Amino acid sequence: MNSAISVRDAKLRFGQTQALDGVTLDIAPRDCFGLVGESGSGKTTLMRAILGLETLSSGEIALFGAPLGKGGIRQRARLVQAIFQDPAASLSPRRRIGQLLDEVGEVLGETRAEIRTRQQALFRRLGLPAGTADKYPYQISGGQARRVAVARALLMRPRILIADEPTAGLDVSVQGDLLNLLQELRADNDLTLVVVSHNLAVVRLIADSAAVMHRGKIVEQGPAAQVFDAPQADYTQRLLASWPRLRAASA
Amino acid sequence: MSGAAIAGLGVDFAAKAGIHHAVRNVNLAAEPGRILGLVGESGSGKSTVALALMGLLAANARVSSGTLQLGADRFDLTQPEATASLRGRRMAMIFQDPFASLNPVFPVRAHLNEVLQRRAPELAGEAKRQAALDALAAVGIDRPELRLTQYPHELSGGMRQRVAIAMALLARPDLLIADEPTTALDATVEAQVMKEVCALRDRIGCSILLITHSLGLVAEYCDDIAVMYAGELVEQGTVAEVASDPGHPYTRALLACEVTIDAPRSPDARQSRFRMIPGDLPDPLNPPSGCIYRTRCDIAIAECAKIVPPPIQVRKGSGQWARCIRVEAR
Repeated sequence: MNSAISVRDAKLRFGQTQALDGVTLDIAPRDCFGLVGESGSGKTTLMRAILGLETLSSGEIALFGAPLGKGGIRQRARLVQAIFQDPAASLSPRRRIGQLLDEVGEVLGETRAEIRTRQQALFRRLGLPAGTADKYPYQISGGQARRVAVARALLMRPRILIADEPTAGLDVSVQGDLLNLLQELRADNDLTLVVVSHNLAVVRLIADSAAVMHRGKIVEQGPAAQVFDAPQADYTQRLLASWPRLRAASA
Repeated sequence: MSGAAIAGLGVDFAAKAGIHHAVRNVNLAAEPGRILGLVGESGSGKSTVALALMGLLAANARVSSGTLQLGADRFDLTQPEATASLRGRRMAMIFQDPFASLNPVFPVRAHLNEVLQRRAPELAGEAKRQAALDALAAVGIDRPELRLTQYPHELSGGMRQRVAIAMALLARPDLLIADEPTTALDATVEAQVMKEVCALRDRIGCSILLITHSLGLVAEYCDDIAVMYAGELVEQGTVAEVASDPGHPYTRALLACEVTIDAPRSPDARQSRFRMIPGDLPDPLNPPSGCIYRTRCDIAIAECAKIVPPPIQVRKGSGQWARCIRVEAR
């Protein structure tokens, strides 16, 4: 069976920085793949390359067996969608939420009525209040903005959803809500989910398999249980050791 | 040194729709040689407490009540510039973004010299340079000679935060306020920076008020904890007591939401579910009667709408208290 995402010896250089230094990985369909690492490790660059937003210096990326670059941007947009770190920044402040989502219909060639129907169903599904479509991005909360970003991504009916730091900036009391939503979406839609995060504890629970990036390389890769609970690489061990623990609570 | 005590702090914000009482009746005691973690989520008012102490509130904010006791001296925080003479001397602050608190047009040396001029005016020439070098070395900065000549943009985020800590070290304050000092940093750098904050506490024996949204950080590095919700303190005690037996339902819910690195993990990741606190923060202009948390509380009873809960001792013989009339029901 084809991998949902297959990356072979991907290299990418920005000036003096080797952002990707020979990355190879395979993500199985319907898996949740967690990618962890610190700032500047290359996680976001790798995701941008998978989305076709960066061109590799060398190496190959294929989605469901089809090399990236073959087929147009619309075809790729139907395969893979992403929600980015700062959802408010990815929503144009000058347009109402509903207008922003109508654009998706234009890409898909659906009628306004079709896209509105699906949009309303998705809003209900994601627990967004009915009036959300008429609001401007500044009128909704951070958690709601993230849901809108999820809705926009899902309207494309992608087979792969990339979530880059989905909980960054969210309070701990509401982050669980978004994570549970991602979990439910996975069950409903046969989605392959890629979660990119510096939050090791969250990725450890949500991912089936995981990889640790450091300085453009993957230093460890495998089932999440193994990567987080029996790490082999020095760097993974160091990363896990620095994670704050609720000592007193578990004592 | 006898630490810092904040009593009856209230801060109001003028908004279009009316007066917003953002911080209400906050009492905090930061003991010398200890780190007090002030924990709260967005909108809890934790940063407003810090800014009120430093006299750095926005123009539409006003301290409506409150005093700061620092050693033998008492300061009326409702007076303009009440603590101006303390800033950079007996009181120092480390901010979330050291890029914003360090001046981009001056090298590291100028930042340290400014503090030295205030705190050790007798130092000059080589002795002054050596004091600056020692401070950088003390916070774990490598090649301090080179760093003295560098500008903030030439340093990494972790190193910039170390420079801010070195400045605090030279200022030898009685009270150091650190507002989300590691939020912008990676976990490995966070651990290093927090180690330096702890070393600073041990070296100069000051009180440290650490403001953070991260319970994990507080549990790992703080001695005492105070929990804020919607402008009020709801619980206070030592970290050991509060983390193992929280008295307030909000503290309990926050702890339950925290995803720990050693949480039980289902063999099938699809089965993992995460805890959250249902409901929203109360409308600041129209808060609920009685207990501020009751609208989201899972053990609220009719009385909770009638009584503004006073601090109630959680356990006999302990200083831990919670503002919850249902503390026995936990």
